[in-house]
Amino acid sequence: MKVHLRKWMGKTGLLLVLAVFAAGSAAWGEEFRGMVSLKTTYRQVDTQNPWNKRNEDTILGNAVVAGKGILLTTSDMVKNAALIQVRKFGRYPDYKARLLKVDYELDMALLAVDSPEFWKDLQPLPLAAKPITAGRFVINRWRSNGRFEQGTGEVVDVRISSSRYGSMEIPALRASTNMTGLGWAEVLTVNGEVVGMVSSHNRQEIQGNLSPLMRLFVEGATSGKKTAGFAHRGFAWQQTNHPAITSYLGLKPGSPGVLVRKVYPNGTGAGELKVGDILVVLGRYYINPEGQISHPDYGLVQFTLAINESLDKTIPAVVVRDGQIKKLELTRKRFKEDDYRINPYQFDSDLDYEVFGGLVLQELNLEYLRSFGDNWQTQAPPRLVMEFGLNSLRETPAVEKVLIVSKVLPDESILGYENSENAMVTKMNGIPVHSLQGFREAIKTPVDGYQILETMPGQGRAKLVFKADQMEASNRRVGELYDVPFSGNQKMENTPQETK
Amino acid sequence: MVAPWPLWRKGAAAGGLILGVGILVWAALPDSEEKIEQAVVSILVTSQGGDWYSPWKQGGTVRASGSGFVISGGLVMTNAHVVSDAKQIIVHRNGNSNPYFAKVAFIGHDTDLAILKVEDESFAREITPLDIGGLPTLLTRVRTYGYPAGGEKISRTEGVISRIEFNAYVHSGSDAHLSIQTDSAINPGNSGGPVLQGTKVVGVAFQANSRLNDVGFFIPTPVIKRFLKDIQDGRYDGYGEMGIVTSSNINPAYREFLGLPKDETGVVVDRVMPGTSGYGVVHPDDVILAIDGVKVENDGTFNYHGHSVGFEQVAEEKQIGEMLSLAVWRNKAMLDVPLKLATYPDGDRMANQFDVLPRYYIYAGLVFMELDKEFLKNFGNFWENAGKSLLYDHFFKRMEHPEDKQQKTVLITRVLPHEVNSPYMNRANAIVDTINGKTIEQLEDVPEALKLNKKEFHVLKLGANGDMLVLARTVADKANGAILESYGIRSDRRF
Repeated sequence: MKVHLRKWMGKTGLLLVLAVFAAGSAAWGEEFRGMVSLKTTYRQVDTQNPWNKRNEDTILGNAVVAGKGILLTTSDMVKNAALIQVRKFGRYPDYKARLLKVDYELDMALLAVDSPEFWKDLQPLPLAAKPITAGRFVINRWRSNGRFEQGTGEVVDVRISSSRYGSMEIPALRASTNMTGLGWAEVLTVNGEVVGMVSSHNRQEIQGNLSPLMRLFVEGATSGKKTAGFAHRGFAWQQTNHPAITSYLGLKPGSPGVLVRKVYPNGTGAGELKVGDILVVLGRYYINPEGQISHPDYGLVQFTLAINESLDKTIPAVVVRDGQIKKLELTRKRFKEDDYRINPYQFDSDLDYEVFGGLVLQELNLEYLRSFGDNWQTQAPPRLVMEFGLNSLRETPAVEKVLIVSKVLPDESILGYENSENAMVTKMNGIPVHSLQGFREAIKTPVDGYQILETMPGQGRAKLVFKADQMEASNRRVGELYDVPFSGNQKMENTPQETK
Repeated sequence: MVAPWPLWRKGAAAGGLILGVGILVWAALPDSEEKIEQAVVSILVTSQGGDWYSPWKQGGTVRASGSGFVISGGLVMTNAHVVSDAKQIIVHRNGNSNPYFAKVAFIGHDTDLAILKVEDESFAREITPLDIGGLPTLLTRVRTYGYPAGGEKISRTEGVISRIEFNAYVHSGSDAHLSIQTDSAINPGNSGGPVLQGTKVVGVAFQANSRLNDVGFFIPTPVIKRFLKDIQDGRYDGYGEMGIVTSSNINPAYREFLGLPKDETGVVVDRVMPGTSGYGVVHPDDVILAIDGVKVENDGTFNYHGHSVGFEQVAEEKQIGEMLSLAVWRNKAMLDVPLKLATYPDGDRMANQFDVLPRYYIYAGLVFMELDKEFLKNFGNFWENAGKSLLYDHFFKRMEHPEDKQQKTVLITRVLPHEVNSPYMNRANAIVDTINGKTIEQLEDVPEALKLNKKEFHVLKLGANGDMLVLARTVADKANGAILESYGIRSDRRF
């Protein structure tokens, strides 16, 4: 096998020179035996024209052999995938991979490959149990030309931050490197152990997942045990580090704990913590007034790390409530799709929408905003960007989405309504409406023969009126003219089926 | 070349006095190009505005030049933006190097017009004032006079009127009035200069649009005349605000829904802004059929001297306190609705501020200010770096929640570092909801809420999330003076 590898390395021109340079803190090894290149053909939903998908495209990246018959990569590598193929040692053939599990909040995905031939000569790379928090590491990747390339990076810091898609708080690696073109699930190693995986790259900085979380993800998905999975924080908190606030809250100077400021309807601590609680202990850790814990591996780090240190059903906590110490077992809970008013990861499924007399309605989602370009924060309609920034998370038990008129397809029924694009819908036929489901219910009860849609002030005209008995003809016209099925999901009553 | 006429003498003989303002009306008109050019002046201004980041300071000084022209009474008309925040104004006559010091007599930032009074009474003796004419028509030629790029010699360009319509007035950033588009070159320095047809002023050059080639805009005579009428009582009051937001009325289903007869035209009321003259008088789904007896079309326009212009122009020509008569279609019947024009105080919040210094209050190193457009400019020209909660509050909150009576939003804009506030550094730009339980609705509420509290702590609730900021009262009181002194702040407040 050794001879075979040498031949292969010679053919591919492995960057041995780089290996010499790196012989310091980040040792080189045979990481290529535990890594494969990955090619994903994907079809992205076209949020501007939700009845369409964009033309297929292909991305190339990496995956690590994370266990027997298991490949681990980032979720970005598999989103909207139509076909996932993997290649070992930079050579044909390509093998088809199956998606076992994807978690967009963690930015991780597990793949399986059914062909026994594929696994021959591949060896799992161990995932380090402890996080890398300082020092150098090796960055490993397969290039599109079949070469295996290594470079180095150095840890800048590890911090708890909200996930790229969604709002789960997880530890993330920030590091510097001189390598370019990263961000495709490159594998980070130290002494042959995986310490992380690159999720994004901007100039000379990379961000990545850390191995303890990767281990937990793999174990959770493969152990067969029923776990609670990864969880969200279900409350807002603030530091108690100012002497005045400490004294005001009746705490002794230097007392541990943070103030619970708000409790959400879901997530860890929801329904169990109370506003005004001083959260003193979470998991195995005392929380200092700055909201940090002293972690044996991470050092001083934000206490919310503790929420996802295990996948247990509960996590112990101690609070000071009304001056009394109270022990709690907080249920670890994950936000469900309905907990987001604005879906942060609209991937892998068709978009639901409704065409109503030339108006295209859909629920606002992050991918829609991102369709306005890389600078969507300044290019997308400001009111919608604000809604995402301020009210993305549902904070009341009532199910609320954000229903928008995403497009106006000119038709005689919407004459004069053309400036209603990107308006937020507030009512339909006098009924408050914030979702497609609510809209579909509301249009069943026209008012005196009219369908009346109302929008948020300042976004086009306030009210749009349609004749109820003309909607069928209008929808048919629009469908035929613009080649649009009128509904992305449920078929409306009293209207024809797809026009094609 | 015609010899200079002793114009002051001729004018004095034929002129009259408009009571209340002291503007002499000169009947004599310039009868030659040379006399017209004599009436066009250059204006050199040194200005200094407020600093909305460090509100206790003034900003840097800026020197700029513009144009103007002499009107009746030896007064100079120019743009408001030429003389905004002026510390010193020097007027130069054409071909005369003698500087004349001037003061702002009247300024209307909403109309971008100002009247200057030159201190030296001899200034206008040899100048024939320019007379204000009427509204020109499309495709007729105009001449623009001024001192573009600060040149010493007068410049004259010619062009054609290509559009007459409502347009945004960028000086205030929140007003729209009638404006006229021309291809007569209007460049920086032309601002405030007259636009003429024959011997009559038909407008004041004021702005351009960088997205359009070879196009400039001037303020037409209806706006100028209204401004002159407004100041007749010795004060500029500005415009009343109907506050009516309308949409076209061309959708057949909507027309049928409203029960509007087929031959009736008018524009649909979408909403009425709280605090304006129209609030509670006109209602959503009203159709404005006519205004002061003038028929309104389905797109909201009416025939204005042969031009199709928004119906708001009727209200534009009125003064605050005057009545409008609206013919309104409501609940399938026509009725007459009287509307008294009033000021719209909340409009200032949305406009660029000039000739005023920012209001602020400082306690324990926390700088409190009211959220307005000037403050948002600290975050870039398009506020791109401002927090979403500030932008939402400024642009959308009151529109979406008219039931909310709070007119102003108070922020902690800065935290001047001191041990009394050191953990609160990240509270800059937070909206103050309550202080010691009192809802904060304007800047004056802050010192009052702090003063009335006799408890051990001041408790400030910030933002929608209820973030809490606590200060030990006696410690904060003691630190206050030292903080002001160490940051060189002479006063803890301006309001």
